[in-house]
Amino acid sequence: MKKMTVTEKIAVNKYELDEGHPHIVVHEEACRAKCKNLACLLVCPARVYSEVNGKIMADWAACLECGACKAACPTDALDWVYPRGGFGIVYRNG
Amino acid sequence: MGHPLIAPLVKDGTLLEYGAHLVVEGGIEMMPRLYMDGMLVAGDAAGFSINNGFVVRGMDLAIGSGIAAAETVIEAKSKNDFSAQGLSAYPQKLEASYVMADMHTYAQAAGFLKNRRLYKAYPEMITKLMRQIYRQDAQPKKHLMQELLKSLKDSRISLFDLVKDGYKGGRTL
Repeated sequence: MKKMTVTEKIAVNKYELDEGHPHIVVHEEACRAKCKNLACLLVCPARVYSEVNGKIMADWAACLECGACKAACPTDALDWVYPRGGFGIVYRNG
Repeated sequence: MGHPLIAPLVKDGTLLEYGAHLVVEGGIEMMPRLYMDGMLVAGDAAGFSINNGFVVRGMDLAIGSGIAAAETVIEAKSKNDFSAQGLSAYPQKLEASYVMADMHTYAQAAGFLKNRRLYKAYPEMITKLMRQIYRQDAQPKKHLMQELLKSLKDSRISLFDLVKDGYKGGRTL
């Protein structure tokens, strides 16, 4: 099987984007002050999180809704909820 | 996918979807309502997964509950009654199968596995103890019992913790 990048894999998926309603919010202050390991960068299979100039950004539109970041985040800096009904990832194959 | 055993099987395959999912481990405590008008809940949506510390199961329970759901739907169809009442045989079918039998057997497992000592103190203590037992350094040895007590003390596990955890583990797993 052809090796694919995460971006290529995400491109195969179907999403109903809930524009203007992010379901992931990173509270910068708590994130910066309390987090030592940046677990979100490692655990997210969709690479939603990235570090830009020392700030954690969440590209929430690509989220697979697995919840790994919520389980791994060592601080209370991460607000993570499922997208509103009808939005988010549309799993067609399970 | 790159594993030498898997790679040949998916050599000419195409990715249809990229997904990820956490495994539910709350056991019987997190089971939702299993049937309602026009709907049956099976698999991990119903909380059917078991982690007993050795295996994490879910596929077999998904198949088992799927079979129970299918049988329920066939019966409901023959009576053309898909109301909650018409689907109410579902939990009984589950109870009669290995699905709920195992959910009951391991009902306390999730709670037991929350014990932090299992992941830090005990592995640390066992490693230290084994080192003391097997190390040959031309120094006089102590009785094993003394080594055991010392390794427990070093890892801050009280005898009471050990007895309690051992008893609980034996009961729940």
